[in-house]
Amino acid sequence: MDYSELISESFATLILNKVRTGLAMLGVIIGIGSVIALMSLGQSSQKSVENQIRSLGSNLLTVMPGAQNQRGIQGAFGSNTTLTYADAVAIKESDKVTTVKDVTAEFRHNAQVTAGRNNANSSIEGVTPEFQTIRNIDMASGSFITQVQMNGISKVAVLGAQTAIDLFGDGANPVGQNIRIEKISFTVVGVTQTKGGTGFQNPDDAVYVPLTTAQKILFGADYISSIYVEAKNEKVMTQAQNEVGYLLLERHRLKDPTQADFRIMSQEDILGTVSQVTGTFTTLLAGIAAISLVVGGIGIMNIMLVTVTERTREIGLRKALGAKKKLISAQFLMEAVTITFIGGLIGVLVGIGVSFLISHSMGLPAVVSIPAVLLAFVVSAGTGIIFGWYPAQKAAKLEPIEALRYE
Amino acid sequence: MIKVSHLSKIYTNADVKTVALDDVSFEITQGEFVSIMGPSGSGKSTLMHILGALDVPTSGDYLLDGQRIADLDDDQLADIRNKKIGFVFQAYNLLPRTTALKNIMVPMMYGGVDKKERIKRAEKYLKMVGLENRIYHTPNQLSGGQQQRVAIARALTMNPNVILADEPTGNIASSQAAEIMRILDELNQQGHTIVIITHEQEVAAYTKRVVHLRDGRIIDNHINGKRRRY
Ligand SMILES: Nc1ncnc2c1ncn2[C@@H]1O[C@H](COP(=O)(O)OP(=O)(O)OP(=O)(O)O)[C@@H](O)[C@H]1O
Ligand SMILES: [Mg+2]
Repeated sequence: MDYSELISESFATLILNKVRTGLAMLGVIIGIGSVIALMSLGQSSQKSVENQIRSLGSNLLTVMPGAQNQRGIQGAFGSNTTLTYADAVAIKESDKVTTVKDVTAEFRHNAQVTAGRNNANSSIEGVTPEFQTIRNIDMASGSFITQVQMNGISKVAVLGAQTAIDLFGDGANPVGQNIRIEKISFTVVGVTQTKGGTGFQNPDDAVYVPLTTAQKILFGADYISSIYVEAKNEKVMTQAQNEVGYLLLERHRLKDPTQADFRIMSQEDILGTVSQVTGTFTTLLAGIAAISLVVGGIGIMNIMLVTVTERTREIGLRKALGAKKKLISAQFLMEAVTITFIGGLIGVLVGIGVSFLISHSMGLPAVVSIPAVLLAFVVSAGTGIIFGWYPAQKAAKLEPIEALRYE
Repeated sequence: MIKVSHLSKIYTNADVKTVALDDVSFEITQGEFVSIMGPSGSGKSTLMHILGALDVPTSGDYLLDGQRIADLDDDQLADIRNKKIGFVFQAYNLLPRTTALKNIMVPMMYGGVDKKERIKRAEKYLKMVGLENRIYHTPNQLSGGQQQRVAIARALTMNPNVILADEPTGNIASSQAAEIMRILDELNQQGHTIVIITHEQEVAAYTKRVVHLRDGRIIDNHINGKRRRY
């Protein structure tokens, strides 16, 4: 009796018990399917966030206030008020900074925006005109914030693509219309093109106003949320980081980098942090899915044990007709592995299908996690072996005549 | 070829001891055709299971072809059951929901006979027992006598030296019983050693020697002088 026969024998017995086989398989299908779907979705959202960050360009530096030890407590990013527009101007104009191409400053605050009866809770971003080129913003209609509007503290606004839809409906042209931010009337001068981002500071949900307007009219603040620095090219990133860093230390009258009341991060730094977070998240999801796989495995063990008991007479007969221990255990093991392997195969297909559907409907890039697929096959066969082992041993140990007498 | 000496089998269930075999000794030589008779519960099946290497005696010795069965491990026993002994059970014991052909091929599968040969032999023996038109019938689609014949065919496929049949004519009409005895007689003439259990005088009359059991003891063991031929 060779392997191909062992496989065809176990197929034959499994087909004889279609419903039971199907139910045992379902546990594996759900287990493997959810592992694949969740890991693929995790990777796909990770990729989406990475794409978003990368799309801003690799020669961008972000300067954020705070995040220094204050009375032993680590301050949250952006909660500090140590950066000013003057800092941004200094970076742009100082002779000590030679590697920087352009600089923009941003003051960010959430606020209620209304237009007629519609309203939206948007991120209000007070920015300088350079923001458009540094953050690669394309206009769908109208124009971005200008220097004249900045200097004039004008009450004008540029709507993100989604905010425009939320406030004025799909297809309408809001340019020239009025909106109210914090009960103050603003004129819409432009709408940005959609960037198709998700979650994480979605630029489509923003409302851009001149920095001066945000600070003086809307929120009465003299600090800013972040400075974006565009280096001349990728090669001078480190130098740019140092130049900006020492300039700001000097301006804030701090002696050395350990005292810095700001943080300078490159896109790579941000990417690293975000990847770490989403990676942990993906692992967590996979762990939850793995639990369902274990439950599926126990289901298989249960069904195999019932099968062994039920087929005691058959096992006795097979032994009486000359089957050796190894063959009996191999047969039952093969049945368990066949269930888990086919279940795993279907599970992989279901998992891929589900992750495609979900990522499609959420506008995420479709990613099939290849390691997850490979792992799924190993794990499903392994599940069969681990949970099929005990019942198979039990079957192999039966005494032929005892087994034949079993009722 | 078969030699048992002082065989005893005592079952102990919940402190109740049942003596199924009590100091049984006899010998069966190559080419014999023996019937074992006795009332119900006299220990016939118990003896047969021990001779078939399916069960072990509580005490005493069993030598098959000079080999002490008690000295063998599980896998060696499996090999003996597969190659040396063809066993026909009192209750047929066919695999349910499995065709006659597949049932017959089971011992050959475990005996390492190659696939083509298996089908050839299975068809040959099915024909021999007159079931060439029932190849794809499953046990529940066969009559008791037909199942009995499938079980006999299965016992023959490995061409075993010894054929042990527990009541091969037990549950079937006498016309079919005669047919089965004709098959066994034919096999005996081909040189197989045959031991059958029966409680029918008519059936025992076909055999060359009759052993009588009662309460687990041999009470008679004689050559059948007026042997009946079919
Ligand atoms: N597993 C067992 N546990 C306890 N007692 C048993 C067991 N198997 C058989 N016996 C007893 O052993 C005795 C012999 O049984 P056996 O099956 O050998 O009888 P038999 O001669 O084949 O009877 P029959 O003609 O009815 O088939 C009986 O009294 C039976 O009750
Ligand atoms: Mg009996």
